[in-house]
Amino acid sequence: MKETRLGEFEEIILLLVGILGEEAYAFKIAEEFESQTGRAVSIGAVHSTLSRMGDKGFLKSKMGEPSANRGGRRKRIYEITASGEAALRKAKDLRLSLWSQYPGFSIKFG
Amino acid sequence: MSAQKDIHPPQLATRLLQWLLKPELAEEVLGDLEEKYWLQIDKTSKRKADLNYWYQSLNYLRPFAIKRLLFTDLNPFFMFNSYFKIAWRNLFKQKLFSFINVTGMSLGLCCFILIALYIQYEMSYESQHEKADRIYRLAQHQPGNEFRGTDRFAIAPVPIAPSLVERFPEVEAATTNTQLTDRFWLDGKIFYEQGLYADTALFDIFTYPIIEGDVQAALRDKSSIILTQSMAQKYFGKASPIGKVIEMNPERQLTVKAVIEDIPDNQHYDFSYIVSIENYEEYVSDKKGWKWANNSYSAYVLLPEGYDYHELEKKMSVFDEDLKYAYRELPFTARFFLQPLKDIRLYSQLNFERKPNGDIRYIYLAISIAIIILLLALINYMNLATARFRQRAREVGVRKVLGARRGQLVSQFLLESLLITIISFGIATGLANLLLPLLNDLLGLTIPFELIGNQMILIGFLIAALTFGALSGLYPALMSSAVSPVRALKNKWFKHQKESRFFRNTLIVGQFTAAIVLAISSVLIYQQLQYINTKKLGYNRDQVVYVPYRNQNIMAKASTIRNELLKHPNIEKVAITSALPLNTYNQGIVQEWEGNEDQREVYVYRTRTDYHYLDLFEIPLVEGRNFSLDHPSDSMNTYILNEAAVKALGWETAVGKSFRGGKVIGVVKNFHFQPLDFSIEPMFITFYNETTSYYYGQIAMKINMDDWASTTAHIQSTLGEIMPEIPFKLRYMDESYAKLYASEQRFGHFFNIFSLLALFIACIGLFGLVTHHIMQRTKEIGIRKVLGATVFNIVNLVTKDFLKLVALSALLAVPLSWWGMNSWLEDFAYRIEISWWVFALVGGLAIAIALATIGLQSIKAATANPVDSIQSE
Repeated sequence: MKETRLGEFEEIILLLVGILGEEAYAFKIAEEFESQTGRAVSIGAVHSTLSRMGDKGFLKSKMGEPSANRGGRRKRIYEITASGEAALRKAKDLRLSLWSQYPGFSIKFG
Repeated sequence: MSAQKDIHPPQLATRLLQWLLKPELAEEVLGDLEEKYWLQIDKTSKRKADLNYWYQSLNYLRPFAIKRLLFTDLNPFFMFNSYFKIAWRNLFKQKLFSFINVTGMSLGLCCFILIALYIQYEMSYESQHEKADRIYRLAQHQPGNEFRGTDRFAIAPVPIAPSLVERFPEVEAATTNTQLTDRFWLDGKIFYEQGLYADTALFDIFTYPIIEGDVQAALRDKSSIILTQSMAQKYFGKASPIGKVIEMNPERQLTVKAVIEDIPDNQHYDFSYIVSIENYEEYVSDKKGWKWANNSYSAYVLLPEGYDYHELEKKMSVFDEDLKYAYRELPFTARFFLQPLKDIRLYSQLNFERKPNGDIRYIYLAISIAIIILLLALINYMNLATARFRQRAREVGVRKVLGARRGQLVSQFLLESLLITIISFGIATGLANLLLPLLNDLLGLTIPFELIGNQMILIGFLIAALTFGALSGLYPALMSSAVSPVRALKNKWFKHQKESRFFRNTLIVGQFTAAIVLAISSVLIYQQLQYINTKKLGYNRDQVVYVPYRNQNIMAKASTIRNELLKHPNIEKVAITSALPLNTYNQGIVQEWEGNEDQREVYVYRTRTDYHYLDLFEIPLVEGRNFSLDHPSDSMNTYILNEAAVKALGWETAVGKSFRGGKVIGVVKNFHFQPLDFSIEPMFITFYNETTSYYYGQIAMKINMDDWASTTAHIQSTLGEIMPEIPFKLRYMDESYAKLYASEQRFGHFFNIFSLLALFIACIGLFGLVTHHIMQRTKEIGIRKVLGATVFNIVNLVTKDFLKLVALSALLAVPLSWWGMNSWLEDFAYRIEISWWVFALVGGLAIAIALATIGLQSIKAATANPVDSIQSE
């Protein structure tokens, strides 16, 4: 059985795939990642994560349309699967539950 | 954004990706990267976009994206464990073959390391000087003034260095210096020390690390001296010598102003102290008279980075007029040229070099010997490995059946040869460390063992060792893996048995040819060196010893010295002479002689001596008489010529004729007064009297070797009393003679040792092959014996094939070594003739050694009980 927990990077990538919808392919995701997080990432690193999450069943993919600025090459569009969505929600729930237990900033210790 | 035609992503990166990426990923990945690329171009520049493209491409070299072929599903290192285990077992299972392989390779690599160290050392000359690449030595070409084989001289006059600096702004600095030997006093004893007399620019050009004191101030001040560390310690012990006074020559007090580090051996000259050149009177007068013709100095210039020194050489023609004027009374003129400082050691063979130089030809020779020896070891390994394939056949077959890929088999065999190479490399390094002192002794050098700490050489060695491992394993590896498993399991190894044997035989022949060529050459070199040592030179140097003296006019005391020395019964003869018949340098032009109507000029060597010289050296006269006390006028302007001089002057007889303002009283038979690289040239001997200003020479003695201790004691005390200012240094003429040929001797020893090694490596290789061959045929031999073969039949059967190969090698070696040695011998004016028996002897010997190697094994096989060999499966 493959690992179903999400890492931080994986979680962000997964979310970005959801956000980008029809435009969710490796290059766009990497660009979006950089602009949203301000962190540099190589396309290769994103692609590697995408393909790993594909293996886990969180993502499915299909080939898109070719375009001129890609030298007439097609792109691979990713889409979140049900189990991907479930994993995302699980991650979110875990965080929310943790945040609800976190003492507010107004409370001072000691 | 538009895709212009001439702009595209770096094609090399694209191709790399296409080659490495999984085919199903290539399209999307390349598409993504190209999109990114155009975006980058819009945002930044083409260069940055290219760079980013590369970055992105390299970031795709991840396990998920690249082809399985390069990155198998299985852990590729998993099998390495097995290969290593098998290799290790094989190493110990086949002790004999492993021993042969490791020995051969260790010796080969050891030679390689030693020779590499030697070459590195020779290349390291002058590296102490920070500006070494920009320093040039001034030298002179004097067409028409050929002396000892060349008309180029490593000397310069005083005016050239200051003139260069003054006229040409590109000359950053120039220095003039000269070397002299002076006497120093320590606890009442006298020592000669080698000094450098230099001007103040010395330290602007050369780098001599300063330990303490102010070197510039020391060079400006005539009465101060700079010592090297070891000289400072010799005279002043451990305390700082700064400010102390040292006595040089009688009554010259110098203050120590600075101490520098010792001069390393890898420089083209050597000294123990530096004083201002203003202390040298000849320099002072040459400078005052601006003399272009007195070449008693060395000059060096410093040029800017990247400057072509030939430019300066061309510009130096402005001095032609000065030189022409200076040489107006001589039959030649001079032109200056420059030599890069770093080329001096290996490429310069001028007259009056400060130290004997190395020779680039010896470096090439050393490299070829190293390569030959390495090749011999390599061939041993390959031959043994190919021969032993059969034994591994089943293993390879089984591996193949179980799914081993070709690449895996190749890597297995490579790993095995690497293992042997690495073991050998370890042994070789240790061995080289042990042998380096011997090599240093042999070559008279001080090569340091710098493997660690010197990354360049270490990396070089590692690469060499790995390449060696890969090369020696490659052929076996490819051969073994190319066979189909069925053939391998059936033990039908080669499709063409003959082909593989032909290949192996060629290698054996190559190996033995190389070894025999080296052996023949070393015998011939030995013969030539023996010839030099025993050649009749026309004089007798047996039992002759001498004491050199310098800076002293001892002629006034000559008769006292002689009489006192002769009081000892073992001292038979004494003569005082300016030069010994070893290496006479003093040569000059003679124009005046009877019958020289057309003002011809002849170069004649000269020796000044006394009544007893000819007698002591037993040089026979062919005409006339020796100097004699019965003719008091002999001490003025009388000459004794050699036969070569008489011939050069064009005379039939010489006695009584006028020559050089005097007359000839005798002619001696030609004798060798120079090394045998030179033929006998004209010379005259004249009388050495009180008025001649020759302040150097030798006191030669013919002695009876009985009771040697008392004889030396007598010589020392006598000379000590009569001339206390002269350091006592007794030398043997025999030894000095041998020293003349030191570089040839060294070369000879070097060559002998390495050719023996080569022969040895070739023999152990052959031994291994024969052993293997016999093992293969054990059963056949057994059956032959049962069927009635005699021991002789069987020995014959086994040895015949191998002996044929060695005999063929001997035949091939003859012309090769004849050609090589003939060109070496051409450097000698007096040389041996290459005689055929040397070839016969060495060839025969090689065959005999091979026979012994093979014979031993084959007799063992032939006398074995056939029952044992047939029953075993």
